Amino acid sequence: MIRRLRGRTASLLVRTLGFLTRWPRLAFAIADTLAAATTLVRRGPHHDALRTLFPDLPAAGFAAAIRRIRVNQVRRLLLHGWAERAGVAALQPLVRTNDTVPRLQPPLILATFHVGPLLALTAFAERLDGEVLALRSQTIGSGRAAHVSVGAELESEQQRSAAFLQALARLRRGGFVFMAVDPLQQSGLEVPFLGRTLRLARGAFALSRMTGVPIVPVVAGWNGDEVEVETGEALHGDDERTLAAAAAQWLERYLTQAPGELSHQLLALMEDDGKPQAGGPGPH
Amino acid sequence: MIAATVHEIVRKRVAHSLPPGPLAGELRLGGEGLGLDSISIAEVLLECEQRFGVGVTQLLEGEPLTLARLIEHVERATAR
Repeated sequence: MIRRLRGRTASLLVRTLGFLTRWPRLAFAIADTLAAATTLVRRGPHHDALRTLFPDLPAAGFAAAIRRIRVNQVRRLLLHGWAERAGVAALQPLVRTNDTVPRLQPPLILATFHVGPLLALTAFAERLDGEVLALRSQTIGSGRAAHVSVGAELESEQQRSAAFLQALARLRRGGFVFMAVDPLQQSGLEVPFLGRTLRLARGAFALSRMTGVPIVPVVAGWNGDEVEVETGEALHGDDERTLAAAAAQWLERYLTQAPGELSHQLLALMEDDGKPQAGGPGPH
Repeated sequence: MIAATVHEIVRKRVAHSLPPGPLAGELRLGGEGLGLDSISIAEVLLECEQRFGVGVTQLLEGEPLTLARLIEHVERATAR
């Protein structure tokens, strides 16, 4: 009952603020105020998780991260509302890529995670100079740019195999493959992450092993009212597990700098076995 | 000959141990059959294409991919 009410409130909020695509700053100000208010009245599931994952975070940093997680949740809804109403083009003015795009030359595998405003990466994908295949994320390929296409459906094992072969072909033709590597299903490569275990999908790492094409980790994060796209150094190697561990390490470093970017989706994907991995709990 | 080669290609990618001898044709490559994940299935098909010089990736469309279906397709394609 409460959950349904919350869902209705959220969709009402998105519908209302959806009218403000031309005044994003005003929409963000309203959304942020509402998000901050709900932080005061209700603890989210991320509260305890954040304390466990970042035990050394000072009180002020902890409070800011909690607020940021809630604000990000509301802003995520807002972006989806805008994209539905006015298309992904409505997000383009919000996204800053600085000098990132020219440095990314195909063939390249762009690996992202369920953190930050994932939808904003659609705008980023449209700026890449080359054919892009968006895989494992309908979100990234949801724009209208002709050079960005979405891979095969990913429901069954066979569909995922077909999508994998599409990606292989795209890389061999010298294009980009853009995919989320933290999988929503249970299989994958288990890697240590923030003192817990994260399962990453094999796809990106297998593609890199088979083609020799490097992997660049990519995430989007908020900086004020703009989205900044952050990329890591290219990961090379022919061992899937080593590549996966390196990608997780990069994300761990990113989240240690910006714990407020931790999302509910990512938390749900992390296995809480109650036992810290080797190296101790929390970031290191 | 083709069947034996396909069996060998599949066998080396199956993580769990399989009984010796030919594999049952009705076994699916993925899921509850041989348990190959999507990437291993793709690798099996790529190796079949390379070894026999015929296209097989179209088998991913439609009905579930079984060992028998793969072998039958390769036999028909190489006989042409």
